[in-house]
Amino acid sequence: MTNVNSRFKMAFRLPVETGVIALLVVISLWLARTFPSFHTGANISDIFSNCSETGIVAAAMTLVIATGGIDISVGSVVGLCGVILGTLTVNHSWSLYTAIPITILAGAFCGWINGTLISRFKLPPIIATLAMFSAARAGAYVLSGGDSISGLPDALTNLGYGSWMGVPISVWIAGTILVLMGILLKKTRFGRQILSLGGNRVAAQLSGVNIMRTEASVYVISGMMAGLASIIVTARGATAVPDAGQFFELRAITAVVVGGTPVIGGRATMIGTALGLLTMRVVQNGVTLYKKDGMWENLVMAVVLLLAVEVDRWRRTREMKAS
Amino acid sequence: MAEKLLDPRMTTPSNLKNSVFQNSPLRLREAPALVLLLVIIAWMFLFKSTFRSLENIGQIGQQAGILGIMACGEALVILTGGVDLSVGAIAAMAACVAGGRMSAGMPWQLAVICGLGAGLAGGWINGALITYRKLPPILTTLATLLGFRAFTNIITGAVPYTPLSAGFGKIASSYGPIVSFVLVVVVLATVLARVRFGRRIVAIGCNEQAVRLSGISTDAVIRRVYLLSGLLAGAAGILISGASNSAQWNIADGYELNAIAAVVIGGVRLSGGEGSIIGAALGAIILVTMQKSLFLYGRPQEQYGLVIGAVILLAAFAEQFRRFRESKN
Repeated sequence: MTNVNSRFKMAFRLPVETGVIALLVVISLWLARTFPSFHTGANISDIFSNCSETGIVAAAMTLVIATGGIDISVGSVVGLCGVILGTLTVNHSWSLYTAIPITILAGAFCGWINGTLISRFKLPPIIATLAMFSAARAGAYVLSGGDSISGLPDALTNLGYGSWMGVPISVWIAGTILVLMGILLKKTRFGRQILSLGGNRVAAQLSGVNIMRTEASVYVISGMMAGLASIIVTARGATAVPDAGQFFELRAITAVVVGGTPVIGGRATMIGTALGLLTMRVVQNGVTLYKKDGMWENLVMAVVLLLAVEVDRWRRTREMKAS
Repeated sequence: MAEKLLDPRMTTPSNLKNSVFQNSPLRLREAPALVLLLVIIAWMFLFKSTFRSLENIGQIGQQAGILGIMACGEALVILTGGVDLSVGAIAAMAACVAGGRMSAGMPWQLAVICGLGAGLAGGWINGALITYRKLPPILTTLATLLGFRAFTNIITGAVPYTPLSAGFGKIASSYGPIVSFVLVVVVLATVLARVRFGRRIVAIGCNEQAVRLSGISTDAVIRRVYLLSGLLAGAAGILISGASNSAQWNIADGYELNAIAAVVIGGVRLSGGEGSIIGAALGAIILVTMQKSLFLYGRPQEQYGLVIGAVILLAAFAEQFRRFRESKN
């Protein structure tokens, strides 16, 4: 194959987000055609604001998956941090300015335990975070005594329902986190180190990446983001409940994978993750519009997940043929 | 990688020979799990009279049987280097199919076969997606975890089937789980140690490419492994519904994590190629015995997670330590 020819084909190389874009467009068009209420401002704002909690968690999950790891503890950490926030503000009447940083630090601490077990003690990520998954959820129940904590400060609940420039504050926070994580991943040395770690651990170490520190940091970030998400979950729910954040890990992983990030690591796309989140929300919205039970969402999501992976396979085969 | 290649256990096809006859019993992969189980049982026997009651032991046997059957199927999958997250969902699907047939008046034997068929179908879908479509196991079974559970919910309309057949209920709530558990363990342990299919499962976990290059259809083996995992998960689900006399879409919720935890506690390496069915069975018994012990000490159910998390970590560290010692030899 001549150079010119291959370059010609290179021009038609499809982005990794092809699958998710195609699915999102098809589903949205279908819903917009069937239901006029789908493309009203209120509905679209609803779609966005419902992604915010999962969005924060999924942004960090993208980094974790980029290293080839996985963090299934985030949902439980969200529950634990929410209870910590509730206990501090309600039972110990701390001010939000100290309680919020402590909550995020508690999340970071859980992440640090995960990161240390994985990077220093070389436990498989799924095992270390499985242990944290059990322990953090149990911790949330022990701390709260199994009850929900209500009577949170008004400032916190206002944060959950307030908006700025017509966009809910939770969406601003999630959007900022997604953009920051995207920049972190693609434009900073740390981000490149994450990707090189996921691509080839030995090569990364030989080229001078402190793989232990990089890997641990990723889980710390994931824990911190779970802490931040717990604040939004608590604010939006107006109570701190110990079983908050259930299935967040599943949703975040689904969003990341639907977005086109391969689970083996080494490559990642934050734009894909954001689109994956939107796809999930649009699917959920569609299920509600069809007045179906919430379980249909999971069924459709399973199909969407498999379809996204299929489209990605097709894209890669096409690329391989071209080169 | 280099360590893996130099490790004599990884290169010899029979880890049974190495572990049972050439090393001391304490160097068995299952030794930490066995010691832990014996310690828990000894402690509980000495200090808690309620633990000694026949009723309690019967309950442990029943629950351990159900989780153990599931864990054995999961162990086969993990030995090939895959993972099956959909076992809980498959269990619910099979239970609802069997329960639905039973409440429709079908004899329970036939209904159970229908339920097992549903389990097989679930396992086949996993295996087909993983081998024919070459999807990563974790993603495929994540999707089918969502899919099967939702499918069961939608098909049953979230209405539980109850009461089920009395004859089956009697079996499932008495000797059924434990007998089938022992049967499954004996058969699968023999298959894994002595039968070509079993040796291939372990070999694929060690080095899939080498197995494929030596002319074995690895995909066929992997498909059968997921089929078996689905069948066993289905059996566990049917037993759960039989014991509680009701089949509902949300039974066995979160069991996939329990099954994986049991497998890990039993000393099966998560990346595949090392471990045994006996280990997975021991892991399941440990998990259930511990839950029961915590219950007898009056701890609320929410706290089990802390202890189970700690035991998973302990098991993982034992594995790490073993590998470290091996790499020094």
